[in-house]
Amino acid sequence: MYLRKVLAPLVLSLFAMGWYRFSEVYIVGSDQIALCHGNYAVYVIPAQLDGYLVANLWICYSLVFVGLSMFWYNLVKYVKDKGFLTEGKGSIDLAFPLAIAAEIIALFTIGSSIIGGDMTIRLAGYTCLIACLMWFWYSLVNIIKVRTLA
Amino acid sequence: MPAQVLEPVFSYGWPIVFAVFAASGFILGWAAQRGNYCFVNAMTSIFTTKSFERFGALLLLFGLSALGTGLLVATGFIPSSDQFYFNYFGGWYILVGSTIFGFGAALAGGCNLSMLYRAASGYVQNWIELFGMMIGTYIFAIGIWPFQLFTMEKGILSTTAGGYVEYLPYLIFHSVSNEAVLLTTLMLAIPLIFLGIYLQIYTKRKWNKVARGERGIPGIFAVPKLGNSLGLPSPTVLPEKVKLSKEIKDLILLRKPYGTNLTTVILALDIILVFIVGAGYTFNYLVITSSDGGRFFEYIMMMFGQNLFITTPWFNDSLPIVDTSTLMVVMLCVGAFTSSFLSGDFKIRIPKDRRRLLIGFIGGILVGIGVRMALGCNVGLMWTNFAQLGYDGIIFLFGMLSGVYLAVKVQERL
Amino acid sequence: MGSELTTRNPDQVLDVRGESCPIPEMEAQKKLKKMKGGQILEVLTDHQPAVDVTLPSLCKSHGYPYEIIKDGEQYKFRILKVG
Repeated sequence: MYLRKVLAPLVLSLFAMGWYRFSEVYIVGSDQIALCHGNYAVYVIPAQLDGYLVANLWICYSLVFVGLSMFWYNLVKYVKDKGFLTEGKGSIDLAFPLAIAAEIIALFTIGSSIIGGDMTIRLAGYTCLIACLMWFWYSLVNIIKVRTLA
Repeated sequence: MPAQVLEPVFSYGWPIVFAVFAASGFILGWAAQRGNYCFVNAMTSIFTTKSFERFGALLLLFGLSALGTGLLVATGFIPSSDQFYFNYFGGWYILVGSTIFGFGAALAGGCNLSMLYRAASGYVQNWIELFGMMIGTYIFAIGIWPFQLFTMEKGILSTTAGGYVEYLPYLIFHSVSNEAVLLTTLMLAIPLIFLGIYLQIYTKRKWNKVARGERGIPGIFAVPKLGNSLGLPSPTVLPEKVKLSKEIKDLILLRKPYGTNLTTVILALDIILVFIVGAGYTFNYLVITSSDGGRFFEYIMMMFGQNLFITTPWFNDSLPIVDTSTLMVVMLCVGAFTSSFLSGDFKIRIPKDRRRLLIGFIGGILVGIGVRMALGCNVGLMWTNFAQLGYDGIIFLFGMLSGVYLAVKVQERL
Repeated sequence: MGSELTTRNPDQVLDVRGESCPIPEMEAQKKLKKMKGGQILEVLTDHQPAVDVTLPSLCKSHGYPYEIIKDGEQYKFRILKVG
């Protein structure tokens, strides 16, 4: 059951990447073949195909992000429930927000070509990043408090 | 003769159209999974237990969808051409195809919607059905489509065109004016909504009667003892407001499945969303899952270097290589997976009785053949056609009911 | 009635684990038809909607009492055929 909960989100992220790659290679390639054969019932005009690829790329980024977040969340739960790392369990609370923050940074770095200068999206990203860092500080303070009391 | 042209109503680009269709696919998968929305199940329960509550919900869905899209057109917000443009041909094949579809889907254990969201929730039976459907599409393409196309072109028990020819306002009033659309919408949607609500009330009253022992079963109460059996605390009486807010919280946190009527309303709003956003761009209704069954088979074959759109009938003249419904189907599965995963329901499940896998495969083949003959499935044709104010959906409904009835009878003997 | 359903051994067991709707409901209906009044049918299922919706609706339409017992990731849905 735990394995299912940890692995399934990874499968989702891999599927999203695989689907985008398939679209980029096979669907675009087949559209060219349809054009060469003059099959206009099958051929899709470039504006539409580009629209599909752009939307698909965004979906791919979002799903990879969501999948990895779910993976991290379930991994933390798994490790906690199994009672591993009883001594240093605070380190997981610290690692989780950092992992999410790293994911956001990676998402924006890879996706900079389509995000461009769109401030609304960038602001949303910065807000999430700040929230993750605050979460990290909160966990750090909690750990220090617990250790001091102990 | 009404103009049959598509012009975008709103000026946004294709990425937005694709993204909204993908989002609506996600909503469809999520809501259908949470509400266990199954068209076949709604029909089998009529014949097995004479329960009409889920069938009533289905009629309510058709009525609400027709009312929403019809009013948008009648008020001039969306041009009528966007409602009738994708009305397909009507003929013998819809009745025959929907009967085969209903039979196959009831045998296999899922309509085209439930097959997809259950496959994404880990039901191996529905994976097999999906694969069977792909094979069925191929059998249809090479064995039946050339003949069917011939009858469609020659008008043998078939119309020779779609569009406004099958648009009920045009058929009844010979007009596609706002008034004609408004009257037709009310004539179609209101009876469906009332009938849907009545059937639900009727079934619940019947259950209450049976529980009170009015049918000769004295003192029998169907009371589930789930709470105690699960070792949960006995429920205490809560005030109405607290009850409602607890109910909403449980639904949001995925602790409880959605009720049938809540899902009905979400799905009706979903089809209205794509009706507006896709107007003038593309097929502005919910997924054409049946076509996509064929399309995904085509995609699989592409990876083996085979392009069916060059070599095979139907594949070469019926589908663009990609469209909004492709992303919608993918996101439907993602939505269903996400909701089943987050609610803890996701699990790979293999039927204990292995015969069911074979029955699922055969049922899937029949589903593939049936939906292609009918030119669409229970979503892309039946439900959609009610929202299109056409009559093909009504034919499909009766055909599917007869197919499901036959399957229930066969299942009793298996 | 509830305790009888929990304590008594079932007369028939229907294993529909891994199956989805409408199969549990259809198969249970088929089995119940062949059973005598007073007998208990136990439906083994891991399909949540069958437990929440379809099997209860089957029981309600016939007036059969039922009990749901959760057993790990699966359910034992016990139905007492009456009449």
